[in-house]
Amino acid sequence: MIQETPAGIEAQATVFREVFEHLRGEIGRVFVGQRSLVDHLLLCFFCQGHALIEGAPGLGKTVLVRTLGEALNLSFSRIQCTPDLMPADVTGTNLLAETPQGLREFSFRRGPIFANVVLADEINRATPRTQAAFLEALQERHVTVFGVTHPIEEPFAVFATQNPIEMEGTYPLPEAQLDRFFFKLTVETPSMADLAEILARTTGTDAVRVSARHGGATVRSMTDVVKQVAVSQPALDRVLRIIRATHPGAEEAPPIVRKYVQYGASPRAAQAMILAGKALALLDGRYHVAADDVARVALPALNHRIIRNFHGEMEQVSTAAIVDGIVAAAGGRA
Amino acid sequence: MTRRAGIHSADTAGEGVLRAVSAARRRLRFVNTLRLVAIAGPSGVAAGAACALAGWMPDWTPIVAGVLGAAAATAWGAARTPSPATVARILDAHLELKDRVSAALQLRERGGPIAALVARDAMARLAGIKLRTLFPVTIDRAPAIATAAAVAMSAWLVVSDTDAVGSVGGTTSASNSASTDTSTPARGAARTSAAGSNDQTTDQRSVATAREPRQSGSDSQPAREESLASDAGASIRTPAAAGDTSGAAASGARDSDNRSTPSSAAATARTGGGGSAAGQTPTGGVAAGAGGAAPGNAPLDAARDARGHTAIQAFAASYHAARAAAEAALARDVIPPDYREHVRAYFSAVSPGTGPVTSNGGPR
Repeated sequence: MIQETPAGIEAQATVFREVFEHLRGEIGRVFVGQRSLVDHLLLCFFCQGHALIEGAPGLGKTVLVRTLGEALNLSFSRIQCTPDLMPADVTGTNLLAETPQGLREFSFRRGPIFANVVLADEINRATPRTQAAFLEALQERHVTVFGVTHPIEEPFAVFATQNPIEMEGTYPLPEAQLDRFFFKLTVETPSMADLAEILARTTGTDAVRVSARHGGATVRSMTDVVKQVAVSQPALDRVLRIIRATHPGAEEAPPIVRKYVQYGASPRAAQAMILAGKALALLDGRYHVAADDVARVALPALNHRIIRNFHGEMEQVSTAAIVDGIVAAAGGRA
Repeated sequence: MTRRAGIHSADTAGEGVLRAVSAARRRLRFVNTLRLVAIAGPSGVAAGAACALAGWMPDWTPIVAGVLGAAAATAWGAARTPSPATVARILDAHLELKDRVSAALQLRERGGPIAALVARDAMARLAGIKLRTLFPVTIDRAPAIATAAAVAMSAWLVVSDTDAVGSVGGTTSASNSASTDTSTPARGAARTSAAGSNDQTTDQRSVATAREPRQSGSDSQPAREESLASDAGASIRTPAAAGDTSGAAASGARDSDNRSTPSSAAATARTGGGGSAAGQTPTGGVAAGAGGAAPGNAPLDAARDARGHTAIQAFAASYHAARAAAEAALARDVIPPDYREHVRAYFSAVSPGTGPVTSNGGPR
């Protein structure tokens, strides 16, 4: 619901901050540490984007996404991707059913994609055909089966995970599909203190129960208020410079991009940075995006959209280092 | 009602932001202009003083150059006033407002509830900000360097003039104000041409001891073997060394004569007209001629050396070289012996510190 008065927008912004803090706290009860990862995941969710979460097994990727759904009292489904997973297993299919009148007809049985929060676990283990089944759902937010389009209820977010160390028998996501993810987040190995906390929480008898609040309507209104935030000209200029700087052939490209990057970011990256910047601005109590907001979300927005060339891969230049160089060249700290 | 109130507050806050930006813009223009003036004014003074020291420009050049520099800086500063958007960005950067002022200014014309919120947020941050504190008038490196250069060049110019006065005054018993006119050749020439009356300067009183009784005009007194220096445009030779004359009039003559190099010592110096004898040399020569214009001072001024010293030093410095050259010439067989002695006597007579000369112009 779009508010037309400053007081209405202020009220919504206050609720937004409360919901965000609630989610941050609830997730923090289950998922130890990694504050930046949690914040980026929530930003992505309130911008109604999809995230690709990459990390080694056992780091809590599934727990993180599941807790998000539970804390917001939203429907949650998990798809464990395997090579024999079929598209119909994701989207659903038509089943022949008998009506009360004794007639037989096809009825659509919804797949696990029809949920508010979807976890596609190890998406790179699914075949390209099944991965493509996600494309329409991710981008169009509806599913078409046998010529019939079935819309997916909002809020809708897909969080796909992938394991970077077990590449055998996997099907790496193509660039076109990667670009559909709002953010790519990396789960780091926990620190000593975090690891001790994880052990203390998970090996005892106390079971953590997440407090569920709000719901889909609240999330939808949060999404609306995020979109209402204005973008200042310096922030817009910063985004444009960043996007241009990702392309090795552009004048704005820094040396590290010219040397190690094959393809730069698409306009979707700019959209992601602006939208996430809006959510960050609301969290900061502002109603406009500042240039610093954009710089803060540059790494998750560009992480999967910058394709390194042969030299970059051979010299193991990280995408984070490239993004740092891009943001610095565009006039701001990363 | 709420919406109308919101729109009204948006307009108010938007106008407030605009006023704040305008005030900051004026302050920035003032500070920037002041800084430019602080650079250009002293730079003009320094450049003018340098030109005056080099003798290319008159004494008042530093003042005029400084004023012109300041005026140009003022005009430049007014023309280069930053735009409101730029001022907003400067405010955001100085106050770390995260583009609040820029966004408020940008959204002011668009209106709407978000614009009102942004403007109100910006105004809340700008409240209580003192522009004088935010943009203080400070002297940074460039104006300091320009001012130091101006002070140094001006001091050099003043000291140079004082040196000229001191050097002349130290060798003459009665220095006069005209000595200050001789600090540079150009300035000396300008002053010479400007001084046309008898009562203006005493350096226009040219008196020379008469080594050669070549008298001109009707004032010749051959019985006393005196040489009367110029009276009403008389033409005299001026090989006299410093100290040969005494008296006030003689000091004036020395001021003029001592600018002569050995080569110019034999030259005829035209001295001013109308005057009377005012002193007598120890040798009986009459130092005469007071007042009158000195249109012939330009070649004398040319005897000044590169550091601006008067010809007293130049003559003393070059005397020995000239005498050595003369001795070398005398060593040749082609010079008749009688002439050799005459030349040696001449150099002995004009040697610095040597006074007595014979009535016929040669040494005793």
